Amino acid sequence: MISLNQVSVIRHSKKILDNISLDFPKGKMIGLIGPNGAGKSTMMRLISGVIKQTKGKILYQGKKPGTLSHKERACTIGYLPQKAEISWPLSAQRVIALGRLPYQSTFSQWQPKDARAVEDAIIHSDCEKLRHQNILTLSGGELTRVLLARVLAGEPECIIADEPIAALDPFHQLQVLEILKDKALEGKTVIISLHDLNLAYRFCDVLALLDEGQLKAYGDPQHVLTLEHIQSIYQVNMCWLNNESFKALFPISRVI
Amino acid sequence: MTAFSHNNRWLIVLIILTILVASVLHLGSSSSQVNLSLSQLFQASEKKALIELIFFEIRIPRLLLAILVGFILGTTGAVMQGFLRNPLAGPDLLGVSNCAALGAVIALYFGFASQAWYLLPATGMLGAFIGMALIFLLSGSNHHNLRIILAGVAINAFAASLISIALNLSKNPYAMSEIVFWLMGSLSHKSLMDVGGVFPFILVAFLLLLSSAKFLDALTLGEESAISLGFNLKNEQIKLIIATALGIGAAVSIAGNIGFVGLIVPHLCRPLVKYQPGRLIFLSGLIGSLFMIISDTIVMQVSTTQEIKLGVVTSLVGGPFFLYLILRLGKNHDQP
Repeated sequence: MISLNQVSVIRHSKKILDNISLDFPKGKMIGLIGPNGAGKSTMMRLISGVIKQTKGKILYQGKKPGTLSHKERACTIGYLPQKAEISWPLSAQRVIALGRLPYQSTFSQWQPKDARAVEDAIIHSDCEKLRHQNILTLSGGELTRVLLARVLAGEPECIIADEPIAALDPFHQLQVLEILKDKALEGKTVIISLHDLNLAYRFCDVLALLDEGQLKAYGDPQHVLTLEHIQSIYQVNMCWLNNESFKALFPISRVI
Repeated sequence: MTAFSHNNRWLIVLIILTILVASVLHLGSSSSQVNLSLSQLFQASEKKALIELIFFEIRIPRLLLAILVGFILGTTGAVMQGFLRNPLAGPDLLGVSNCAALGAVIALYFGFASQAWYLLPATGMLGAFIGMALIFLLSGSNHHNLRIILAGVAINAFAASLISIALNLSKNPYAMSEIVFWLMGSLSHKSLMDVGGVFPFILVAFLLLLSSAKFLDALTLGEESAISLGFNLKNEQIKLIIATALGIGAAVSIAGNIGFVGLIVPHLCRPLVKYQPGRLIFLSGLIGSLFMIISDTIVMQVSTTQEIKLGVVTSLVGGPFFLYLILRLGKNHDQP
C-alpha cells in the first residue's frame, strides 16, 4: 500500500529518520514501537503528508512518486495526530463531519454520501450518544473515539493513528484498538504507534521497532519483541509471563 | 458543513430584514445639518430637488459605505480569528488597520493622495499588505499563535508611532487636523464615486475570505490535521494576506480607522453558527454591516456642531466589550 524507500528526515542537522526502507502492506495492522524520540511520530507525519522528507521516496500504491495531489492524499490517508488540538466548542457530530473535507471543493455542497459516511463512522466508533455534545467537555476516551470517527468518516484506505491509546483506561484502550483492528480486517492499512508492548503484541500483525531514527527490527511481533531487542533498545530487562491463552511481557529492572 | 445549515437560512433572512429597517432609519434620520424625513422624497414641494440631491449624493453613498465597510471588517475579523484560532485577533489589534492607515497618511502627508483617486486606496492596500506579510514573516515558519499576536501588537505600535511622527512633523496645522479627523474614522462627505472605487476591492476580498471557509473548519483540529485533510497552508496564508490587504486597505483608506468592529462582531455571531468558523464569515459580514449602520445613525443623531467620528463611537462600544471578553476568557471556555 505504502512504502518508504531510503527515506531520511533531517532537522537542524539531526537525523530524525535515518535512511529507512519499509513496507506497509494492505489489510494489516502495523505497529510502530520504540522509545520516546525514536522517530515514530515523525514517520507518521511524513506518511500523512504533514512534513516532507529530506531524502528518499515515499511510494503510494499505484502512484508515481510526487504525483499524488494534496486532495488525493487526504482521501487516501486519514491521520489521527497524537495531541488533540481543538479550538472551538463544536458538537461532536460537526467535528466528525470535518473528515469529509477532502472530498469537497471550495464552494461545493454537502452530499448524501457525505452524510452516510459520517453516520457509518459514528456507529462504527460508538459515538451515537456523543453526537450533540460539546467536544471540549468530552472525557479522554470519548474524545479519542470522536476524533477516530472523524478519521473514519473520510473513508481512507490507510489509517494512521499516533499513540491513540496513550491516555486511555484499559476499557477504552481495547475499544479503540478493536475499532482499528476491524478496519484492518476490512482490508485497510492501519498504522499505529504504541507504547504498550503487550497490546502491540496482541493486536498488530506486523511491528516495526524504531530507535534514534533507525529501523532496528521489522516483521512478526514475536520476532520483533525479543527480550534482547527490548533490553538493548528500551534499556529494560523484561520477561515473558505465560498463561494458557496469552503471554505477556513484564518489566523487571532497568539496565544500568 | 452545509449538512446542518437549513436552520440558519431564517437567521440570515431575519438579519437582512433588520439591516433593511436600520438602513431606512439611517437614510431618513435627521442630523444637525439637515432636517430630513423620508416622506419628503415623495411629497411635491419646492425643496424636492434639494431633498433628492441630499438623498442621492449624501445619504445613499454614506449608507452604502457603512454596509460595505462594516461587512469587510466583520468578515476579515472572523477569518483572522479562525485562521489564528485566537479570539483576540482582528485587523485592528494585529496592526493591519494601522498599517493601512500609515500608508494612507503617507499619501496624504506628501500630498499625492489628491493627484488621482486611486492613490489613497492603493497606498492603504500596500500598507495593509506589508503589515500582514510582516506578521507572518515575524511569527516564524511554524505560525505559533502567540508569536503572531505578539508580532501584530509590535507592528501595531510601530505603525502608530510612525503615524504620530507624520503628524508631529506636519508643518501645516490644517493638514494635520485633516489627517487626525480622517484617522478617527468617518463616512460623511463621500460620493457614489468613492463607493464605486472601493466596491470591487471589497468584493474580491470577500470572495477570497469566503473561499477559505472550509480550510478554517479544518483548522479547528489544528494545522497538522488541516494539512492532512488536503489543505495547503501556504496557499491559504497568501490568500489571507491578499484578501486582508485589499479589503482592509480599501476600507481604511475610504473610512479611516474604525476600531473594534472586526474584533467584536465575530464574537457576537459565533454562538449563532454553533461555533463553526467557516459559517461565521458571511454572518459576521452581515452583523458588521448592521453594527456599522447603527453606529453611523448614532453619529448623525448625537451630532453637535462638530460631528462625532464613527471610529469614536465603535470604540466606545468596543472597548468595554473587549474588557468583558478578556475577563470571560480568563474564566472558562465557551459553551456551544
